[in-house]
Amino acid sequence: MATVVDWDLLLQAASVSVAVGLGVLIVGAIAVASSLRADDARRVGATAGAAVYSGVTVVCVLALAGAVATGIYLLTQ
Amino acid sequence: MSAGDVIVVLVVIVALGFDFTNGFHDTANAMATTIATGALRPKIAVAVAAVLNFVGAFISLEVAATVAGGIVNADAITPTVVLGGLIGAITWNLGTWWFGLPSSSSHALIGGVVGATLVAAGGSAIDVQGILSKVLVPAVLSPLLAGLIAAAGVFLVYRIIRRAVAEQAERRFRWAQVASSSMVALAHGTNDAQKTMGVISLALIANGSIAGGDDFSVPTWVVVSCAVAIALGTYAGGWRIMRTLGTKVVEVRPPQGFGSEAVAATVILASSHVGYPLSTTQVVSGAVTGSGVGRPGAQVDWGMARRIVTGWVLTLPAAAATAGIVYAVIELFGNGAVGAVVVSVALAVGCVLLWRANRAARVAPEESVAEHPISGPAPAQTPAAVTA
Repeated sequence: MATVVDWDLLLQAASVSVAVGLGVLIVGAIAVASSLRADDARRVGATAGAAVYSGVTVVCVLALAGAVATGIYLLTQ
Repeated sequence: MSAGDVIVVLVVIVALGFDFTNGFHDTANAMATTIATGALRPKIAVAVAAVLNFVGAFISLEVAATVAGGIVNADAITPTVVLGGLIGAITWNLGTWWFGLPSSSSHALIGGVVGATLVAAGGSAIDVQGILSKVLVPAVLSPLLAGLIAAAGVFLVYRIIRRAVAEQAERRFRWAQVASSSMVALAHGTNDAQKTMGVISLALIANGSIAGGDDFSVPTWVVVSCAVAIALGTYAGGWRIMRTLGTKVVEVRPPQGFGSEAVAATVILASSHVGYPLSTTQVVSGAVTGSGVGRPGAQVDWGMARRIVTGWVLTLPAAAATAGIVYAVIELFGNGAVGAVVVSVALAVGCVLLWRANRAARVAPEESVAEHPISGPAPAQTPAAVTA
């Protein structure tokens, strides 16, 4: 079995999948949570809080856009 | 036109037919969860998937050059073997579609080629080690991996948004879900359209119509026709499988849909990048099931999951057996093109009969939408013209 399956390659694919998969989901969830909190902060007039949460949202969305761009790049390789 | 040319023409037609079935069989991979949650209307979702599958077919041609490599001895491949393999794969694809089972089109194709080769050239032409490493081990590990990551990831997602109003959060996840589903559709077009390109190229090389070896390149007309076929198939929408994956395994909510599709896209891309081939269908099915495990309060229908896994186990041997029989029937008619014409006509008749049966017991696109979709763009209530 050891000669049939390249376990190093398999482990590499699995570890990248775990890291990136969980990372994308966590970043996506933070983006949603922070955008909702930004709305709440705006509603009660907490301008500074709203700005911080909006900033977090923007960073997360940019990170997700980067992940999509990387995915498309990998498809072309 | 020689008998060989006739067989190659039939291979091209049947291969494009397989590509079409591949498209509508696998539309669910990308869009079942998106449609189920109401993130996109059914017809819009399949249109987006069709466009992305079409675009994906042009992105890379690497897989097309290596299809069937390492599975069977290349010297044993003839246009007739390819034809038998394709008919075996189409038959299995249509059968699993009829029962709404998301099985792997790639495994059906591999099984078909293996079965036809086995009958044509014997067991020595089969690379058992290649099948084990390229098909069987990934088939077992990839859905498990995707399921575990999706379960953990979706659990974390729900922890992070636990203080938010569920409906508001779900509305925002809608866009993330559309993006992650689109990535899966693009990856599917890139991988699966190329397999048909590879199969057609194999037949053309075997017939001497194009050069093989270092001078090999996929003809432009092959690329364009395969892209069109898979896009049309995707747009037809395999609503039976869509209904299974989107509503019957587990009720999918937008955070789950985003989670399962994002994990599936990640696993597929990461594995492809390191050269580890996977079935898109199995990865997505595993991720959708895992997302049900990860969402608090969700109930996975393990009976349905078992049916799907049974379909996976049967795919390779069933497609191989069908292809082997088809090849044997072709050979009964001798070395000319008569046998190939007979089985191709039989396939066409079978497809027409199945199409008529499907019209009588059609699954409408609206049946792929979950009971409680997110509010927003409601699924279209118009009578469905598409009945696949």
